[in-house]
Amino acid sequence: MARNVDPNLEAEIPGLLSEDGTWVSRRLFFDPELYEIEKERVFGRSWLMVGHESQIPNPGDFFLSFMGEQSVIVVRDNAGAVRVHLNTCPHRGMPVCREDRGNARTFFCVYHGWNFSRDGSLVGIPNQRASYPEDFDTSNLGLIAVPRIETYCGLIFANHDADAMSLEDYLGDMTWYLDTSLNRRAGGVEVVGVQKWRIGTNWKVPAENMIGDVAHAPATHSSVFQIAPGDPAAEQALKSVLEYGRNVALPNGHGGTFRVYPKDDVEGRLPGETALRDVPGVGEYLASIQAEAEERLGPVRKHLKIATCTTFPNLSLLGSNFTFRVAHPRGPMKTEVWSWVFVDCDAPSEVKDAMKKFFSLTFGPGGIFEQDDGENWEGVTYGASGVGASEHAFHYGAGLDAGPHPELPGTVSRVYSEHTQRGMYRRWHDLMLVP
Amino acid sequence: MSHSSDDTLGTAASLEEQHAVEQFLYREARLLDERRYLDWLGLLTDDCTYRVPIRENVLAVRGKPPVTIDDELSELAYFDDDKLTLAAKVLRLGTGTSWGENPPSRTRRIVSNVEIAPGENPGEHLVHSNLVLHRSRRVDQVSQFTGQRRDVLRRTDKGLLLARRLVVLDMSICDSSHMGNFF
Ligand code: FES
Ligand SMILES: [Fe+2]
Repeated sequence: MARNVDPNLEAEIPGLLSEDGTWVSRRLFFDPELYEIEKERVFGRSWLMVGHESQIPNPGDFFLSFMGEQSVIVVRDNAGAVRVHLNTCPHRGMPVCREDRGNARTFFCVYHGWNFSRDGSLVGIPNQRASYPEDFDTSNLGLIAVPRIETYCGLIFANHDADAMSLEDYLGDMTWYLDTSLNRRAGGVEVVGVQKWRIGTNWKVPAENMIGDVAHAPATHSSVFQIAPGDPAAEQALKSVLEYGRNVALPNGHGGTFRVYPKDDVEGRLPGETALRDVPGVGEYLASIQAEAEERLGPVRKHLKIATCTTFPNLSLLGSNFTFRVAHPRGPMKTEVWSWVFVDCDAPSEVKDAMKKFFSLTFGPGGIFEQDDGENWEGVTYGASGVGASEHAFHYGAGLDAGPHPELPGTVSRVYSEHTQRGMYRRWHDLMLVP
Repeated sequence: MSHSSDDTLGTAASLEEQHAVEQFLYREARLLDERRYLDWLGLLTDDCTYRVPIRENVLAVRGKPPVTIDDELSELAYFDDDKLTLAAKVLRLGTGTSWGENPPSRTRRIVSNVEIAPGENPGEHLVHSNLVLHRSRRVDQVSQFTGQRRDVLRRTDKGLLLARRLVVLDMSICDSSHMGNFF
């Protein structure tokens, strides 16, 4: 699958990042040639999150998703296994699925009418007898399967690289942190809908924001803090960011920003933004399941909450807003964000509804946080690309004192640190250096 | 919410009432285009709900009825507001630090195809209309949102007020980082 890359361009890749990741070339954020290489070397080799098992509970249930720019069908087959097929007909490439989700007995190609079963086998060719010999072998003309599919907490990951390490090894200690959002209850989580929007930015910009860019919050989200002046909950939140916030970088480019509450702060460690917990029924629900969650998470993690985190390359999760998202690349300066709301399967329906509403209020293109993030993410992409400007690398030098922590796995620092971003770009660089 | 297929044509309302409803919608559009958001809030009932659901691609199934608009509406929405959250959004727009709307975008709302049917409760109208929201942002960013509004307008002692709005967008993906404008 590897394409030949112009040797001059290949020779430039080592210099895109300084040794420790402190200086990152602006070309990562707009260069069309690097983007083409990245499609294969990063998105062709990484575990990519394509959706959640709760979207397809029954055989034949499917939804369309993406691995990078590649459209894929995620479907449950008759045996109950999750399959991921490329959404392209083996005959001439027509997408065989043209609706966002549903239940299909077969996938019917509307060009020449080939028909494919849920497991991807070619089960029908119109006028087959007139076109092909009696013993025509259709076994290698099924839908193209993505070779590796593995799941964690219902999240479905797929990988184009048949030789990739297992998902478990790839995620490593990231699951130790993700569990605090996704694994609080025995019944697990389910997702609701998916919000989709496009931003004029490179996919790495939202990914690096969520991996621990706490520094942007006071400036970018000033308006949200302003509409709650003197609100003790908001003041407390700001204080807790500084005191309890920790940024953690993990192997394979993952990382995030977390809050570790003092052992006696029973209130602080409850999940969810205060405004969400104030919705009638929600605070009570979250408090009522806390004992179960703490039992499952154990002595260290029961004090821990995810603020935001990114699983390399492009899966991010916002703990207090009960949402995760994928930043799908759509060209060097365009990203399509898909965002899901996750709720405990066993939560009452009014709690699920409140979480849905709270998500739309805060995130997504109508959200009071997201709008100003989007403005900045588009701005930095535009600003990175000018002649003259583009030769000057970006500085990611905050938090050079990050180190081990007695309780938290990974490399840990206080929140105003860019070491999680350095880790992400080093991972990106390592992949880009291998033809 | 009832939809276009159960139309009783616009005969239920008097000409005066049809006129009043249209004038309400035009005035509302002007207030939004002029960024008079606090005045706009005054046009909403206290129990007002305001939703802009996501619209999906749905295939018609052979032998089954054609796909309706309601079949295409997701359970998740871009806007899922009540008056309190709308007020918070308006307040935020006034802070001077809502960067996506500062400098403010320049909008033009065109409202047309206004049809009135009796609402579920006395004193209420179910009003369908079409909306084109044209938006110019920053130097050269142009977006256009089109859709159907399904409103409930209520006669109160303050005149007509908006008690419910559902906006059916025509796009299946929001091609903008920013939907900070009201529909
Ligand atoms: S392209 Fe699908 S059947 Fe020909
Ligand atoms: Fe942000």
